[in-house]
Amino acid sequence: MALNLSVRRSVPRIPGTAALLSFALLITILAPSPARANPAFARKYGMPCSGCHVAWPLLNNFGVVFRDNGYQMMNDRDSPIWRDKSYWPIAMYGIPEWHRESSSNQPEDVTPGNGTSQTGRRVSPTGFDFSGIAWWMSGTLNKNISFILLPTIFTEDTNVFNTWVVTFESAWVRFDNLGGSSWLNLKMGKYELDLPVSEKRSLNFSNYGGLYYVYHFFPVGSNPTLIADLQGLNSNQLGLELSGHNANSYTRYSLSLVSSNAGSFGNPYGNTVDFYGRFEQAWNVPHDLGYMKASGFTYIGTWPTFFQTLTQGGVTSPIAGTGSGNRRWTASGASLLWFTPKWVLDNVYVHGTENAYLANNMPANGPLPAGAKNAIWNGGFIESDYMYTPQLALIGRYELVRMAQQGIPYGTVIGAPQVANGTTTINGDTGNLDALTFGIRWYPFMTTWNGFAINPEYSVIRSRGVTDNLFAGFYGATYNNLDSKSSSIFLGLNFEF
Amino acid sequence: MVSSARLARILMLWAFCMALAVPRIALGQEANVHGLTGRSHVGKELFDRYCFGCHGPRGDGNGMEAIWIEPFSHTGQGTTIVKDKPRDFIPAIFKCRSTPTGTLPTDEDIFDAITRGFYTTYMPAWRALPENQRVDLVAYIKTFSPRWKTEKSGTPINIPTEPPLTIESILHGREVFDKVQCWKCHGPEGRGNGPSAPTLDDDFGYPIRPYDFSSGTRFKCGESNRDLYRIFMTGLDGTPMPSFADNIKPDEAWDLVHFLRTLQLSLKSPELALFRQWEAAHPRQLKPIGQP
Repeated sequence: MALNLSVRRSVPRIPGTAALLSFALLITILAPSPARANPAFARKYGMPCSGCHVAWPLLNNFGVVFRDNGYQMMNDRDSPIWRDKSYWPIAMYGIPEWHRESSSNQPEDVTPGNGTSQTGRRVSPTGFDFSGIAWWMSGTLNKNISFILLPTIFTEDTNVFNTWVVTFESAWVRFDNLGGSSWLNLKMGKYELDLPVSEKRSLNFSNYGGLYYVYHFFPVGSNPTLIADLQGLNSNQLGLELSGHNANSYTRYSLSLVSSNAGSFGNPYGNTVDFYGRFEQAWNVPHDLGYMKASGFTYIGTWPTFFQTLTQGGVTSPIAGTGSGNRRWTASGASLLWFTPKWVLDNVYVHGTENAYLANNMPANGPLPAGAKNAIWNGGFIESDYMYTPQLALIGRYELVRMAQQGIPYGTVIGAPQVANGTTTINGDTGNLDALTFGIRWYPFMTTWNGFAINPEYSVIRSRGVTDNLFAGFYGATYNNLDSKSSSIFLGLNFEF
Repeated sequence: MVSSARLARILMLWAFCMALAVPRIALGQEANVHGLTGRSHVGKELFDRYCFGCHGPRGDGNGMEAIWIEPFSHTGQGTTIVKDKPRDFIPAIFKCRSTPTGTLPTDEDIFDAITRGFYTTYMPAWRALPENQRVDLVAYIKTFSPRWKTEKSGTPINIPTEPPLTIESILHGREVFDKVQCWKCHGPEGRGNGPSAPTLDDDFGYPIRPYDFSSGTRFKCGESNRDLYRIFMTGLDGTPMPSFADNIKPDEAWDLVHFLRTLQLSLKSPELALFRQWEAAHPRQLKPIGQP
């Protein structure tokens, strides 16, 4: 027996309180994880943060070479046997913060507790907060065998009594320089894909600004488990990576085979395998203008549209690992990054496609609605990181995503009818978004032992046809046919030790 | 949506940042390597990013990390290793040079040292930096010592073409090794355990160990036979390793290179293979090194 898990073209109406909670849930779940820089490496090798990072956590090319070499300097100090036994390859991160989130057109009861009459208003939760903690255990097990174990502790509950969750963002072992060649490195476990610009190394940390939306984007109305769990390119995946590079990492490649399980432990979805590959070439720019890196990449993924089920006690549940009716989605693109001694300019373009069954959230063992098509979208961002000094970074980014072809036929009404605003009717621009972020990162001191940054930031995002913006059609999205605008004002104290 | 006016303002901001990023007018010391001209003011920014942790902001080798880099350290496994202190650039004394002992190195010598790193120390290879940035660093390093204002770099020594490898060359090199008493520091088997080894200090007063050929690690100043030739013909200034330019003729120097390669037991060099082949056929025919 097959069950379509997610054919819900008309979901229950969201009461005002629930909408607020879902908004807060959205904000919390999507809160960027702490920075990925490791003062344990600084302590091991006696390097200041600025040795490997343009501004931590963003890597410079020396840091890329270090990472590509399996967290090794390629001298005789790499193997753990050279270290004093009191050395532990562990670092911890956290961000105490104050932030204000604001989102327009949030459905809200006109009279609190009375859901018969609603309107759309701006909601702006404000206050002090904490990001959670990441423990980064990483280094070398032996010469040319490197590892990461990265548990993170964060809250995913917006109730008064927070529930703190521990998960493993990364856990892998890598065999480096196989056969003595830097062109052959093999990694297995859960790891971040080799993206052209790592979101986990972004210099932005606010809820709306700490994300590269093109890495997460799926069109409005897509399969919700695909959207919620996979989160596109950015999700750390479970799989096997073959990678290689030349001596200065100006030429690099990465090929990954990953389980189509969104990085979830226990193989809960299907048994298919996704592919990701990227090739990068860099070159020097004359006149002390640094170097440029160009790359092309592609992700070819599959996702189930229905599961086998088991009914017990009148409750029908999908059976984990039986995902069937797999359909394809892809995200391909190109990047051009320019690193001058004081300034970094990132340009990333992504072209996404999604099979019509996924785009319409329909099981592949049934018919598609008339007029259904594969969904196609394009997006990208330009980011400028100017280093006034190694201890002061000015950051600006503009990002957009545009639907080129909706998978759901135009005119289709989706979502719950909103008393005040109606429901979303799919148009050509439904789900389009624009985002702008400005920030400063100031490192009051720079040592070889720990890190500290003060991080004020402002970000704003606007999207078409849906409210709650983030990844149009995501968790708390409200299909109210209105454009919405959301923003973050953020002040964080990012510490690492 | 972001309006075109707002986009224009964003682009103007980027243009402003670009203008700030363009290097300023060159001031101070320069360096020239591979046709590239390095400028010290650019090098200073790079030094303040990458190098200050060990070498210190004044280039005196007293960075915040320097106190943790002891001249000797125990691995906990009964082995003692050497951790060289970060280089003090103020006296402008450099180990790795192509120039005669006592002279300043060439820009390329410093460039090569930055690029290559020092395998047995905390100094990594900086080839990840673009070439022009490494040349900028050379220019800035030259600002630390007044010697660069009053002296010129030495003239690189001439290194003749390496002669063909023969067993005669290796055996003669062994005699040279014995005659000029390399063994007193490096030991008869080249393990860095000669009778003088425990007494050696460098010019800065830190204990120093002779190179252990059997470790197979790269030499401090390169990997090739030419590098090895250069090392003992120029000496490692600031260390007890002298220049043998006045004691060894060029052809003898190449013979010594061939013999020294046979001491690197963990490397499968053609010199070692040839020597072992000869040893197997001529057991116990060699006079022990270091004995009258």
